[in-house]
Amino acid sequence: MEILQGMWTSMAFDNLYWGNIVMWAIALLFVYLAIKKGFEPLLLLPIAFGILLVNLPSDIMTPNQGLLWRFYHYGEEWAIIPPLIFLGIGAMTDFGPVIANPKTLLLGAGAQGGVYVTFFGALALGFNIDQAAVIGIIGGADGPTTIFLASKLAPEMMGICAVAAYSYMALVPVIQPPVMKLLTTEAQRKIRMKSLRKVSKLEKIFFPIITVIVITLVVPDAAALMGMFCFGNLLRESGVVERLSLTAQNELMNIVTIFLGISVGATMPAEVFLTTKVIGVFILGSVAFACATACGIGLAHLMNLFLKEKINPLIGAAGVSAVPMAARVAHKVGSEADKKNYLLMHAMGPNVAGVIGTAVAAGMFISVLK
Amino acid sequence: MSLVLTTFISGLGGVFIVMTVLLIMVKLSSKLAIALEKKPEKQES
Repeated sequence: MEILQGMWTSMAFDNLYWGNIVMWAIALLFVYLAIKKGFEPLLLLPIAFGILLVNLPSDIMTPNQGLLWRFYHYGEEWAIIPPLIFLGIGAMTDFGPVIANPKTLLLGAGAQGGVYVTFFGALALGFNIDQAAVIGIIGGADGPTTIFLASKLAPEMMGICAVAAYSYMALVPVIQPPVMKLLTTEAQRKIRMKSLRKVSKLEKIFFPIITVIVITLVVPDAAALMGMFCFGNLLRESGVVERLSLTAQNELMNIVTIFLGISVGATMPAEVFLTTKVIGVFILGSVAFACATACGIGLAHLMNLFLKEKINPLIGAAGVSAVPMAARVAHKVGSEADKKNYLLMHAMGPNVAGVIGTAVAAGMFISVLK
Repeated sequence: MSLVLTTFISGLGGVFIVMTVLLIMVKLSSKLAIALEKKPEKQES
């Protein structure tokens, strides 16, 4: 009997409570959404497994001891992984549409209005100013930036906000179209835009160099993200370091994605996740997305008052940085109004500008609040 | 001014300033790149 008692006490069952079981169910739901529904599976699957692991009684997140704590501490708390993800994104991004039509940079800025609307919403719901900034940045639809900002301002919000950001990125095709249709007339959705000019290789090489100089001079706190982003893009466009470019796009990106996902999931033990605040974060996240979409479209309407060649206001919605999903949605909604209206490349301009805009917004939050 | 308003104004203002400066610089750099690429073409002809 004593032997059996000894065996029981050495097991972990006594340390379980109902909250852990609920979190297992949430982890399994995320696994289901990732595998069956294809919702951002590259991140949702590692996040789900991280949630499962941290809600099993073990020392896996014990400071200075647990494996996932080390991933989290050196990867996210030290803000190393998000800039490395940006390196990969930079290496994957073609800035041709922005260079061909630089006006779309403003649409990338316009969509950041949603970040600030949500910032005020979060303050009204009782979050402190640092937490409100992190919740607001969800509206930028940029997971790595959300994690980067959380690591700097409100590490306790990192897991929840990262999951909200990635969940809503997957829900772009659901959230955006109703807002887009509400804020545009059919005639406006039918506006056709002139084909983009061809952009030379030299222009593409100049772009990351100029971008990093401008952004770092104006917002030094965005240097880590934008520096890596522009470096990755220069690797791509230089054409002389294909091995490095491909590594940044594939192997490195995949490796850091694994560490990012599993350690973000590990920041969600039941006692942190099962609070009323989480519901607030998820509601505000959807508000952030809808407002960012509305602000982008609103700015496109405003620009049309001054432009000779009108832009299709739908591409303003692509100013949220969920690349390339938001651009695809803009194209799809446009082609529903006019089958021969090809907006995809036009929408890619604000879409990649949105990545820059969100990183700059995060940098501004850090510079004011830190 | 309260910290909240400072965050809002400097944040949104900062994003638009960066994008506007970037817009101007991208236009200028495009012109420079096109001019640099035309130069060797002229020399060849």
